[in-house]
Amino acid sequence: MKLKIYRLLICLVVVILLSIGTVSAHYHAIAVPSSQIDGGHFRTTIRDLDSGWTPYNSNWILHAMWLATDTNSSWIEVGFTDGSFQEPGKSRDFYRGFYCTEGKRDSTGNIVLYNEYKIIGPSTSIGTTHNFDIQRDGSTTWGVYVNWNLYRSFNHTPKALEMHVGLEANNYYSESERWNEHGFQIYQDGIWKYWPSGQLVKTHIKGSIYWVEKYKSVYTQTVDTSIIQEVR
Amino acid sequence: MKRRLILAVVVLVGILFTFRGSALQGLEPDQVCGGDSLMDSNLLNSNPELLFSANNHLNESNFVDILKTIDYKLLQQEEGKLNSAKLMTFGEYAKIVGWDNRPQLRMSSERMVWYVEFYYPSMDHPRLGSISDVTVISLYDAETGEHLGCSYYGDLGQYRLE
Repeated sequence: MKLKIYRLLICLVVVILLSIGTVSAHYHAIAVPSSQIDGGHFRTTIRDLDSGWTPYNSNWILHAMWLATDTNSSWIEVGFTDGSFQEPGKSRDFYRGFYCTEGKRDSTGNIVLYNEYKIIGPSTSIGTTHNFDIQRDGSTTWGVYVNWNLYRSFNHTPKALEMHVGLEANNYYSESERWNEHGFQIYQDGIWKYWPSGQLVKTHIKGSIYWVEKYKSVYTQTVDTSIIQEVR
Repeated sequence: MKRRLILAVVVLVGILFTFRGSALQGLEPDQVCGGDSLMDSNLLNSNPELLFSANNHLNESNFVDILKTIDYKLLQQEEGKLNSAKLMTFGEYAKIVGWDNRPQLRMSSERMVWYVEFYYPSMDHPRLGSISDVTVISLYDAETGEHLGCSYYGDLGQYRLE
Protein backbone atom coordinates (compact mmCIF):
# COMPACT_ATOMS: atom_id res chain seq x y z
CA MET A 1 0.00 0.00 0.00
CA LYS A 2 2.76 2.42 1.05
CA LEU A 3 4.76 1.51 -2.04
CA LYS A 4 1.77 2.41 -4.23
CA ILE A 5 1.51 5.80 -2.52
CA TYR A 6 5.19 6.47 -3.14
CA ARG A 7 4.86 5.47 -6.79
CA LEU A 8 1.89 7.79 -7.10
CA LEU A 9 3.89 10.56 -5.45
CA ILE A 10 6.75 10.12 -7.90
CA CYS A 11 4.36 10.26 -10.85
CA LEU A 12 2.78 13.41 -9.42
CA VAL A 13 6.16 15.11 -8.98
CA VAL A 14 7.20 14.22 -12.53
CA VAL A 15 3.89 15.50 -13.99
CA ILE A 16 4.18 18.80 -12.07
CA LEU A 17 7.77 19.30 -13.13
CA LEU A 18 6.99 18.53 -16.76
CA SER A 19 4.10 20.99 -16.76
CA ILE A 20 6.43 23.71 -15.45
CA GLY A 21 8.70 23.00 -18.39
CA THR A 22 6.26 24.29 -20.99
CA VAL A 23 6.92 27.92 -20.12
CA SER A 24 8.41 30.17 -22.78
CA ALA A 25 11.22 32.61 -22.13
CA HIS A 26 12.59 35.56 -23.99
CA TYR A 27 15.71 37.44 -23.15
CA HIS A 28 16.63 40.18 -25.49
CA ALA A 29 17.40 43.84 -25.93
CA ILE A 30 15.12 46.20 -27.77
CA ALA A 31 15.96 49.45 -29.48
CA VAL A 32 13.15 51.79 -30.37
CA PRO A 33 14.90 54.59 -32.26
CA SER A 34 13.41 58.06 -32.34
CA SER A 35 12.94 57.77 -36.09
CA GLN A 36 12.50 54.80 -38.38
CA ILE A 37 15.42 52.63 -39.48
CA ASP A 38 16.59 50.89 -42.63
CA GLY A 39 18.59 48.09 -41.08
CA GLY A 40 20.29 46.46 -38.15
CA HIS A 41 23.59 44.75 -37.38
CA PHE A 42 25.07 42.62 -34.62
CA ARG A 43 27.92 40.22 -34.14
CA THR A 44 28.27 37.12 -31.99
CA THR A 45 30.32 34.02 -31.38
CA ILE A 46 28.73 30.60 -31.38
CA ARG A 47 28.80 28.98 -27.95
CA ASP A 48 27.12 25.91 -26.49
CA LEU A 49 23.42 25.88 -27.24
CA ASP A 50 21.18 22.97 -26.36
CA SER A 51 17.42 22.98 -26.80
CA GLY A 52 16.96 19.60 -25.13
CA TRP A 53 15.16 18.53 -28.30
CA THR A 54 13.94 14.97 -28.61
CA PRO A 55 11.67 13.46 -31.30
CA TYR A 56 8.89 13.78 -28.74
CA ASN A 57 9.00 17.50 -28.01
CA SER A 58 9.13 20.74 -29.97
CA ASN A 59 11.87 22.48 -27.99
CA TRP A 60 13.94 25.17 -29.61
CA ILE A 61 16.31 27.90 -28.54
CA LEU A 62 17.86 30.63 -30.68
CA HIS A 63 19.96 33.77 -30.79
CA ALA A 64 18.70 36.25 -33.35
CA MET A 65 17.99 39.76 -34.55
CA TRP A 66 14.43 40.83 -35.32
CA LEU A 67 13.35 43.92 -37.22
CA ALA A 68 9.74 44.98 -36.76
CA THR A 69 8.80 46.41 -40.12
CA ASP A 70 5.34 47.88 -39.61
CA THR A 71 2.86 48.94 -36.97
CA ASN A 72 1.26 45.49 -37.11
CA SER A 73 4.63 43.98 -36.03
CA SER A 74 5.42 42.16 -39.24
CA TRP A 75 9.04 41.15 -38.98
CA ILE A 76 12.27 39.97 -40.59
CA GLU A 77 14.61 37.80 -38.53
CA VAL A 78 18.03 36.20 -38.86
CA GLY A 79 19.91 34.10 -36.36
CA PHE A 80 21.15 30.72 -35.16
CA THR A 81 18.87 28.04 -33.77
CA ASP A 82 19.00 24.62 -32.13
CA GLY A 83 15.96 22.39 -31.95
CA SER A 84 12.66 21.69 -33.58
CA PHE A 85 12.24 22.82 -37.17
CA GLN A 86 9.00 21.95 -38.87
CA GLU A 87 9.10 19.59 -41.83
CA PRO A 88 5.58 18.80 -43.04
CA GLY A 89 4.88 15.18 -43.86
CA LYS A 90 7.63 14.05 -41.53
CA SER A 91 8.02 13.73 -37.80
CA ARG A 92 9.33 16.97 -36.37
CA ASP A 93 12.74 17.76 -37.81
CA PHE A 94 15.81 18.81 -35.83
CA TYR A 95 17.99 21.63 -37.07
CA ARG A 96 21.05 23.31 -35.65
CA GLY A 97 22.31 26.19 -37.72
CA PHE A 98 21.61 29.57 -39.24
CA TYR A 99 18.13 30.49 -40.36
CA CYS A 100 15.97 33.41 -41.38
CA THR A 101 12.26 34.05 -41.13
CA GLU A 102 9.75 36.66 -42.10
CA GLY A 103 6.21 37.09 -40.87
CA LYS A 104 3.57 39.31 -42.37
CA ARG A 105 0.50 40.34 -40.41
CA ASP A 106 -2.81 41.83 -41.44
CA SER A 107 -4.24 44.93 -39.79
CA THR A 108 -5.66 42.85 -36.92
CA GLY A 109 -2.23 41.40 -36.08
CA ASN A 110 -2.89 37.95 -37.51
CA ILE A 111 0.04 36.37 -39.28
CA VAL A 112 -0.98 35.59 -42.86
CA LEU A 113 2.42 34.66 -44.29
CA TYR A 114 5.39 33.02 -42.60
CA ASN A 115 8.62 32.07 -44.33
CA GLU A 116 11.13 29.91 -42.43
CA TYR A 117 14.28 28.87 -44.30
CA LYS A 118 17.66 27.46 -43.37
CA ILE A 119 20.82 29.39 -44.13
CA ILE A 120 23.43 26.89 -45.22
CA GLY A 121 27.05 27.90 -45.60
CA PRO A 122 28.54 29.70 -42.60
CA SER A 123 30.49 27.57 -40.14
CA THR A 124 28.36 26.26 -37.27
CA SER A 125 31.40 25.35 -35.17
CA ILE A 126 31.60 26.56 -31.60
CA GLY A 127 33.96 29.51 -31.29
CA THR A 128 33.33 30.91 -34.77
CA THR A 129 32.25 34.56 -34.93
CA HIS A 130 29.58 35.79 -37.32
CA ASN A 131 28.12 39.10 -38.48
CA PHE A 132 24.39 39.42 -39.01
CA ASP A 133 22.83 42.20 -41.05
CA ILE A 134 19.41 43.13 -42.29
CA GLN A 135 19.43 46.13 -44.58
CA ARG A 136 16.86 47.75 -46.82
CA ASP A 137 18.61 47.88 -50.16
CA GLY A 138 15.72 48.74 -52.48
CA SER A 139 12.55 50.75 -52.08
CA THR A 140 10.80 47.86 -50.32
CA THR A 141 13.49 45.21 -50.62
CA TRP A 142 15.30 44.02 -47.51
CA GLY A 143 18.42 41.87 -47.69
CA VAL A 144 19.37 39.34 -45.02
CA TYR A 145 23.14 38.91 -44.76
CA VAL A 146 25.38 36.58 -42.75
CA ASN A 147 29.06 37.42 -42.83
CA TRP A 148 28.31 40.10 -45.42
CA ASN A 149 26.80 37.63 -47.90
CA LEU A 150 23.20 37.92 -49.06
CA TYR A 151 21.12 34.84 -48.24
CA ARG A 152 17.53 36.04 -48.52
CA SER A 153 15.66 39.03 -49.83
CA PHE A 154 12.21 40.07 -48.56
CA ASN A 155 9.66 42.64 -49.59
CA HIS A 156 8.40 44.68 -46.66
CA THR A 157 7.40 48.24 -45.88
CA PRO A 158 10.09 50.88 -46.57
CA LYS A 159 10.99 51.53 -42.93
CA ALA A 160 11.48 49.47 -39.77
CA LEU A 161 10.28 50.60 -36.36
CA GLU A 162 12.21 48.46 -33.88
CA MET A 163 15.23 46.23 -33.65
CA HIS A 164 15.49 43.37 -31.17
CA VAL A 165 18.57 41.24 -30.49
CA GLY A 166 18.98 38.32 -28.15
CA LEU A 167 17.93 34.95 -26.89
CA GLU A 168 14.57 33.26 -27.23
CA ALA A 169 13.38 29.80 -26.18
CA ASN A 170 10.02 28.08 -25.98
CA ASN A 171 10.79 26.04 -22.87
CA TYR A 172 12.81 25.97 -19.66
CA TYR A 173 14.92 22.95 -20.53
CA SER A 174 16.96 24.69 -23.19
CA GLU A 175 20.34 25.97 -22.19
CA SER A 176 22.71 28.48 -23.65
CA GLU A 177 26.13 29.61 -22.72
CA ARG A 178 26.53 33.36 -22.79
CA TRP A 179 26.87 34.36 -26.45
CA ASN A 180 27.63 37.98 -25.74
CA GLU A 181 25.87 39.50 -28.72
CA HIS A 182 27.58 42.78 -29.44
CA GLY A 183 28.29 45.53 -31.94
CA PHE A 184 24.60 46.45 -32.14
CA GLN A 185 24.06 49.09 -34.80
CA ILE A 186 21.18 50.58 -36.75
CA TYR A 187 21.14 51.83 -40.33
CA GLN A 188 19.40 55.17 -40.49
CA ASP A 189 19.34 58.00 -43.02
CA GLY A 190 21.93 56.23 -45.16
CA ILE A 191 24.53 55.69 -42.44
CA TRP A 192 25.26 53.13 -39.75
CA LYS A 193 25.05 54.35 -36.16
CA TYR A 194 25.68 52.85 -32.78
CA TRP A 195 22.48 51.67 -31.20
CA PRO A 196 20.70 54.36 -29.22
CA SER A 197 19.53 53.65 -25.70
CA GLY A 198 17.13 50.76 -25.43
CA GLN A 199 16.09 48.27 -22.85
CA LEU A 200 16.98 44.75 -21.88
CA VAL A 201 13.96 42.53 -21.44
CA LYS A 202 13.53 39.17 -19.80
CA THR A 203 10.07 37.71 -19.84
CA HIS A 204 8.42 34.52 -18.79
CA ILE A 205 5.16 34.32 -20.62
CA LYS A 206 3.43 32.13 -18.09
CA GLY A 207 5.73 32.70 -15.16
CA SER A 208 4.98 34.55 -11.99
CA ILE A 209 7.65 37.20 -12.38
CA TYR A 210 8.25 39.83 -14.98
CA TRP A 211 11.27 42.04 -14.79
CA VAL A 212 12.99 44.66 -16.84
CA GLU A 213 16.57 45.84 -16.64
CA LYS A 214 17.12 49.06 -18.49
CA TYR A 215 20.23 49.84 -20.43
CA LYS A 216 21.65 53.21 -19.55
CA SER A 217 23.35 53.35 -22.89
CA VAL A 218 23.31 50.20 -24.92
CA TYR A 219 26.55 50.48 -26.77
CA THR A 220 28.62 51.40 -23.74
CA GLN A 221 27.80 48.10 -22.06
CA THR A 222 26.42 49.61 -18.87
CA VAL A 223 23.45 47.81 -17.46
CA ASP A 224 21.27 49.30 -14.78
CA THR A 225 21.14 46.71 -12.03
CA SER A 226 17.84 47.84 -10.62
CA ILE A 227 15.27 45.18 -11.20
CA ILE A 228 11.56 45.74 -11.28
CA GLN A 229 9.58 42.71 -10.21
CA GLU A 230 5.89 42.37 -10.67
CA VAL A 231 3.95 39.34 -9.55
CA ARG A 232 1.29 38.67 -12.15
CA MET B 1 15.29 0.49 2.66
CA LYS B 2 12.94 0.77 -0.31
CA ARG B 3 11.31 3.79 1.26
CA ARG B 4 14.68 5.55 1.57
CA LEU B 5 15.55 4.67 -2.00
CA ILE B 6 12.27 6.09 -3.31
CA LEU B 7 12.68 9.22 -1.22
CA ALA B 8 16.19 9.67 -2.58
CA VAL B 9 14.92 9.34 -6.16
CA VAL B 10 12.16 11.90 -5.53
CA VAL B 11 14.64 14.38 -4.03
CA LEU B 12 17.15 13.80 -6.84
CA VAL B 13 14.54 14.30 -9.57
CA GLY B 14 13.33 17.44 -7.80
CA ILE B 15 16.82 18.91 -7.56
CA LEU B 16 17.60 18.02 -11.17
CA PHE B 17 14.47 19.66 -12.58
CA THR B 18 14.73 22.70 -10.34
CA PHE B 19 18.28 23.23 -11.58
CA ARG B 20 17.30 22.87 -15.24
CA GLY B 21 14.27 25.08 -14.76
CA SER B 22 16.44 27.90 -13.56
CA ALA B 23 19.03 27.56 -16.31
CA LEU B 24 17.57 30.28 -18.51
CA GLN B 25 16.89 32.58 -15.61
CA GLY B 26 20.50 32.27 -14.55
CA LEU B 27 21.94 33.48 -17.84
CA GLU B 28 24.07 36.55 -17.81
CA PRO B 29 22.74 39.47 -19.83
CA ASP B 30 23.75 39.59 -23.48
CA GLN B 31 25.65 42.77 -22.93
CA VAL B 32 26.69 45.04 -25.71
CA CYS B 33 30.34 45.91 -26.03
CA GLY B 34 31.67 49.23 -27.12
CA GLY B 35 34.67 49.54 -29.37
CA ASP B 36 33.19 47.87 -32.45
CA SER B 37 33.78 49.98 -35.53
CA LEU B 38 30.73 51.17 -37.39
CA MET B 39 29.33 48.95 -40.09
CA ASP B 40 30.05 49.78 -43.70
CA SER B 41 27.36 48.82 -46.20
CA ASN B 42 30.05 48.43 -48.85
CA LEU B 43 31.01 45.22 -47.07
CA LEU B 44 27.66 43.69 -47.97
CA ASN B 45 27.85 41.35 -50.93
CA SER B 46 24.49 41.09 -52.68
CA ASN B 47 25.80 38.72 -55.32
CA PRO B 48 27.80 36.11 -53.39
CA GLU B 49 29.37 32.98 -54.80
CA LEU B 50 26.79 30.21 -55.20
CA LEU B 51 26.95 27.29 -52.79
CA PHE B 52 24.28 25.23 -54.56
CA SER B 53 25.37 25.06 -58.19
CA ALA B 54 23.23 24.48 -61.28
CA ASN B 55 22.39 20.83 -61.93
CA ASN B 56 19.37 21.00 -64.22
CA HIS B 57 21.38 19.21 -66.88
CA LEU B 58 21.40 16.02 -64.81
CA ASN B 59 19.10 13.11 -65.47
CA GLU B 60 16.13 12.71 -63.10
CA SER B 61 17.65 9.48 -61.78
CA ASN B 62 20.27 11.62 -60.01
CA PHE B 63 17.66 13.18 -57.79
CA VAL B 64 16.06 11.95 -54.59
CA ASP B 65 12.45 10.83 -54.99
CA ILE B 66 11.00 13.00 -52.25
CA LEU B 67 7.62 11.26 -52.44
CA LYS B 68 9.26 8.15 -51.04
CA THR B 69 10.45 10.05 -47.96
CA ILE B 70 7.04 11.33 -46.87
CA ASP B 71 5.46 9.66 -43.83
CA TYR B 72 1.97 9.16 -45.24
CA LYS B 73 0.71 7.51 -42.05
CA LEU B 74 1.74 10.55 -40.03
CA LEU B 75 0.26 12.86 -42.63
CA GLN B 76 -3.05 11.03 -42.32
CA GLN B 77 -2.90 11.14 -38.51
CA GLU B 78 -2.38 14.90 -38.66
CA GLU B 79 -5.24 15.19 -41.17
CA GLY B 80 -2.82 16.71 -43.64
CA LYS B 81 -3.11 16.39 -47.38
CA LEU B 82 -0.40 16.30 -50.01
CA ASN B 83 -1.61 18.78 -52.64
CA SER B 84 1.25 18.42 -55.09
CA ALA B 85 4.93 17.60 -55.48
CA LYS B 86 6.92 18.82 -58.45
CA LEU B 87 10.52 18.65 -59.49
CA MET B 88 11.52 22.08 -60.80
CA THR B 89 14.35 24.57 -60.90
CA PHE B 90 14.93 26.83 -57.92
CA GLY B 91 14.14 29.80 -60.18
CA GLU B 92 10.68 28.35 -60.80
CA TYR B 93 10.21 27.69 -57.09
CA ALA B 94 11.20 31.26 -56.18
CA LYS B 95 8.73 32.61 -58.72
CA ILE B 96 5.85 30.52 -57.34
CA VAL B 97 6.46 31.58 -53.74
CA GLY B 98 6.79 35.20 -54.82
CA TRP B 99 10.48 35.83 -54.13
CA ASP B 100 12.25 38.59 -56.04
CA ASN B 101 14.94 38.04 -58.66
CA ARG B 102 17.90 38.60 -56.34
CA PRO B 103 20.10 35.63 -55.39
CA GLN B 104 18.40 33.62 -52.64
CA LEU B 105 19.91 31.01 -50.30
CA ARG B 106 23.09 31.19 -52.43
CA MET B 107 21.40 28.73 -54.75
CA SER B 108 21.59 28.79 -58.54
CA SER B 109 18.23 29.48 -60.16
CA GLU B 110 19.07 26.44 -62.30
CA ARG B 111 19.44 24.09 -59.35
CA MET B 112 16.82 21.33 -59.24
CA VAL B 113 14.57 21.35 -56.20
CA TRP B 114 11.37 19.73 -55.01
CA TYR B 115 8.30 21.88 -54.56
CA VAL B 116 6.00 20.01 -52.15
CA GLU B 117 2.67 21.53 -51.18
CA PHE B 118 0.59 20.37 -48.22
CA TYR B 119 -2.68 21.45 -46.70
CA TYR B 120 -3.50 21.12 -43.00
CA PRO B 121 -6.86 22.11 -41.47
CA SER B 122 -4.85 22.69 -38.30
CA MET B 123 -1.24 22.26 -37.29
CA ASP B 124 0.88 22.59 -34.18
CA HIS B 125 3.90 24.56 -35.35
CA PRO B 126 6.93 24.63 -33.01
CA ARG B 127 7.31 28.37 -33.42
CA LEU B 128 3.86 29.73 -34.21
CA GLY B 129 1.89 27.36 -32.00
CA SER B 130 -1.57 26.26 -33.07
CA ILE B 131 -2.34 27.45 -36.60
CA SER B 132 -5.19 26.61 -38.94
CA ASP B 133 -6.26 26.44 -42.58
CA VAL B 134 -2.60 26.19 -43.52
CA THR B 135 -1.08 25.72 -46.94
CA VAL B 136 2.60 24.83 -46.57
CA ILE B 137 5.10 24.82 -49.39
CA SER B 138 8.27 22.89 -48.63
CA LEU B 139 11.59 23.31 -50.40
CA TYR B 140 13.94 20.34 -50.81
CA ASP B 141 17.25 20.22 -52.60
CA ALA B 142 16.59 17.51 -55.20
CA GLU B 143 20.15 16.18 -55.35
CA THR B 144 20.66 15.71 -51.61
CA GLY B 145 17.06 15.53 -50.42
CA GLU B 146 17.85 18.13 -47.76
CA HIS B 147 14.89 20.05 -46.42
CA LEU B 148 15.63 23.77 -46.69
CA GLY B 149 12.52 25.38 -45.28
CA CYS B 150 8.89 26.25 -45.81
CA SER B 151 6.47 29.01 -46.70
CA TYR B 152 3.22 29.06 -44.72
CA TYR B 153 -0.03 30.69 -45.76
CA GLY B 154 -3.29 30.79 -43.81
CA ASP B 155 -4.57 31.68 -40.37
CA LEU B 156 -1.21 31.61 -38.65
CA GLY B 157 -2.18 33.05 -35.27
CA GLN B 158 -0.70 36.03 -33.48
CA TYR B 159 2.67 34.75 -32.27
CA ARG B 160 4.68 37.59 -30.80
CA LEU B 161 8.13 37.94 -29.40
CA GLU B 162 6.81 39.11 -26.04
